[in-house]
Amino acid sequence: MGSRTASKDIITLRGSAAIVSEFFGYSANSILYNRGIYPEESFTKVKKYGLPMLLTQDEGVKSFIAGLTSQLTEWLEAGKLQRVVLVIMSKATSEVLERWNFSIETDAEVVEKGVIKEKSDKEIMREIQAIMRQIASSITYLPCLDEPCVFDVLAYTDKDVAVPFTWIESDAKLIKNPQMVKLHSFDTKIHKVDTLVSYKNDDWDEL
Amino acid sequence: MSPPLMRLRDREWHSPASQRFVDQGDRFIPTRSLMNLDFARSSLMRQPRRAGATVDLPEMLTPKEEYRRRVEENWTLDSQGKPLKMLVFRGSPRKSHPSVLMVDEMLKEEREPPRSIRRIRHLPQSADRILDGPELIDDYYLNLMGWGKSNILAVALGRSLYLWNAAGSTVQLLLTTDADDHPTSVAWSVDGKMVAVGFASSKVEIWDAVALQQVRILEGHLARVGSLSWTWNMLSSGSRDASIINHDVRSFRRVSSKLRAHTGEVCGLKWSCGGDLLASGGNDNLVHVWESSKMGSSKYLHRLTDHRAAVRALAWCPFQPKTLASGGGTADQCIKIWNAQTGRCANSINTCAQARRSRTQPLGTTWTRSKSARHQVCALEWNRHQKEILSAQGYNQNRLSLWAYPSLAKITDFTGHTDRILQLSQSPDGSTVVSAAADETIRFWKVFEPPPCSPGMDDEDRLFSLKRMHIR
Repeated sequence: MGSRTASKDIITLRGSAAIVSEFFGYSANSILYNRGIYPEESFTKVKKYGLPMLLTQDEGVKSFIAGLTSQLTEWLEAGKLQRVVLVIMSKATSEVLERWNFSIETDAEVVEKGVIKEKSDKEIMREIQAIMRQIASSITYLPCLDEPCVFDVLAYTDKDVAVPFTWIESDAKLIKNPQMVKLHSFDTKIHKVDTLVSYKNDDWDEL
Repeated sequence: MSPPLMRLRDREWHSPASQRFVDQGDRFIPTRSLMNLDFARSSLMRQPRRAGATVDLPEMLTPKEEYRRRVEENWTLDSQGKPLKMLVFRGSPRKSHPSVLMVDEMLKEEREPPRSIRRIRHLPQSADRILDGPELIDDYYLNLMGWGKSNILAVALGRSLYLWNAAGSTVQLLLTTDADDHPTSVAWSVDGKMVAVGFASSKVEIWDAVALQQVRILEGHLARVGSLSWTWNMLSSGSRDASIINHDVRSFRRVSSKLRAHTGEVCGLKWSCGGDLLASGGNDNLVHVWESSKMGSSKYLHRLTDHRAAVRALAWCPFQPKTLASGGGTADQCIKIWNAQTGRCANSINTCAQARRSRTQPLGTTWTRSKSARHQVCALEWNRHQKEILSAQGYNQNRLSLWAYPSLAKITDFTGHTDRILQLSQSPDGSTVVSAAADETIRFWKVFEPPPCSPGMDDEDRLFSLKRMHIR
């Protein structure tokens, strides 16, 4: 059948950057919802990637994520973004409890020469959907976050990137002796995004 | 039995063709993408080329450690081994919580031109207003003044307590004690509706400032109550009997907890803005920092011993969390800034030294170091709108000094009082300070800039609209 050979769609660098930062925005929202960083009532459902995705209605968080993703788009188009990390810290002690790491591999050829790639949009959607499902199901093995938490977003860029106003240099905010779980990845043929969550060892595990 | 890795290398040496399979088959690699297999392979290949067959075992990490090390290195290096730049986003405020980082302040300053260019700030040469304060008790250890959120200034003069309404400039007498007693401390509740008064007779009374009625009497101390501090639900009182009592004003069980750590009169007591830390200063030259969650035991969080005289002046920084400023008495004269999280002194300035320097320059005369010049710091107030701190001094100097933060460089002095300053309070909108001195005057100084936002907002909103950064 003709539909088997999925019709490939044209992907440009700009389009791919938009897909990746949109993905990041939705996954950040999903993580905030699933990990209980913000109250569940402050989220509404929208349909995206073929799934009911939850987006925050808190104005502050919304504008924070919007500002963040616009900068990520810019960096992705320049091929300078290497990694984006969403760090969850305890509000009281500022200890890093979880680290959601999104590593990005950019096809340098596309950035330099402006080559266009082809991949089915549906295929990409399916890959992202798988990751979203995994994020939602991560609550089954991630330790409970009992205390109020706050989040931060780190971006790992190339050394030659000028630091924009709304960003400052930071340390890596690593977890000591973390447990790591690798989730699915998705690939737009221009950007490949790997997802990994590392979390602080729950004391209960050491039996 | 040679370790498995050595065996691998031998095999490689003899059959380079099947090298790839030998490598990856013999070890458990949990995550391929995290391993830098090229590096691993090359480091394995390197070993046989060294002279001698014995491997430097101490240098070789176990596979688990090596994996960990590789992973950690991976966080900071990209696939080519070049170091990456790590940036954290500090965009718009995310949640309405007044909590700001110092580093955001620096960023803001970089972006905007310094205030002096934008808006010329006029520092007053003299007091804005002077009120009469007869019979103000000249005692360093008492805290006789407080300016509540309802914009009413409460001041204890002699045996009476007066309420001065700043809006209408009207005065009201709240209470008068008997001949053998007098108020020794005054503190407004956080909402400004109730005022707590400590007495020389060791009792504490809570009065409703609106109805002008006494609401409660709290007992527990054995000597005069020289310091009081409110937080949302608790009133802490410090006494000459060296103990601090926390009264929970919601419940009927009067005494919530008693803290015994000082060995001298507790003359300084301040709850932090967030209500989680209590700082207490005593006549024993110590400052203790207590956590509100651990009030049950008398276990303090920090014990700060740097001061060499009684510590009465305590103030929590409103724009930087967990930062405490303390001022010492006559023998100490210093203002010290502490990090309440680590308990370490971040900065210290001797108020005496600064004053002398500023005098020699314009006059050009040489100053001999006079032992009689004393600056006991009796109170400290932070500027909520800028990074500054104001100190009130007594003995020979009798003035207020404005210091920049965090450099603690003196900006200016405010003179006018003719005798040592004893009390200092800040207006609820953070634009004016009022000082009461032994010369029996109460002077108002417009030292802090008025808040730039519309007066309709309350303090918290104002705080984070001014500093638009990571507020959680």
